[in-house]
Amino acid sequence: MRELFPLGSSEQVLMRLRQHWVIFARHAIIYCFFLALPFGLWWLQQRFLPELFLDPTSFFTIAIELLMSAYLLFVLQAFFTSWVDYALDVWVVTNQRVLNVVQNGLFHRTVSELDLGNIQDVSSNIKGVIPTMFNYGTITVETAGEQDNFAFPNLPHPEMVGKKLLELSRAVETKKPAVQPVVPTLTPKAKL
Amino acid sequence: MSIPLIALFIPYGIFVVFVAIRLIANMYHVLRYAFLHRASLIMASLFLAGMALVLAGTAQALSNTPWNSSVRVTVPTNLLQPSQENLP
Repeated sequence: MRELFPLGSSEQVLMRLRQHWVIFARHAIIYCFFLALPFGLWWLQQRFLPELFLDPTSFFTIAIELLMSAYLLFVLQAFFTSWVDYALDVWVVTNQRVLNVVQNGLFHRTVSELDLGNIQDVSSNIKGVIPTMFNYGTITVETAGEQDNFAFPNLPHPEMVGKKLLELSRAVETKKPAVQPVVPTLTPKAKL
Repeated sequence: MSIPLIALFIPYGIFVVFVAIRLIANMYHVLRYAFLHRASLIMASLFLAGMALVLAGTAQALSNTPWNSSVRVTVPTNLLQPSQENLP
């Protein structure tokens, strides 16, 4: 299967996660309202001012028709861009690393990567009425060293995902070869 | 006052070109990363259908207006004349 990034020879994708659908649904409701708005206004005009657009060839009628068409096209393309933005924000967990792919607008894409072996702690946070109802929240991965923490907001089933991540991290830790301590040895010449 | 209808169509045409460029960029992302999210293809076809519907509706509404004609901009005369009721 194609991936966003080259996989190692023994690397497998275990989870591919994106934000909860409720996040997009909130945007969709707003866009649907703006899409319905001109039709509502048209209904009001038909009901209360039916004589307004009687002449279909008048400047005013044509201008309003073009304006409404441009408005609907603008809202539809903004809705589409919002969908692409939502669909391309993805968190990929393989058996070796975690990748956070963030799409900011159409031409700005950020991919950050974290080795599973560098995970120190994973915390999940569900805050608010709607997140509690739909079981989504933020997962924060604390890393070893100076690397920034990883945070992925609005993830579905954050507790389960967090638990799985910790399990994977521990599995990678146990597979790591033990590091041999480097003991300085003195050569006979050095003794002299 | 008469205004050539094309004066209305030119800005509209420029705007449609702008929307088309955004649409191509969106479709590029959807098709390129379709393997990540197959639902994107369904959503993209819905958005395309919506836009086609809007353009078809606009074309239908303007179908009886020749694009090279002039339209008359008129101000209702009763707005310019003081009403009889307000006269002393």
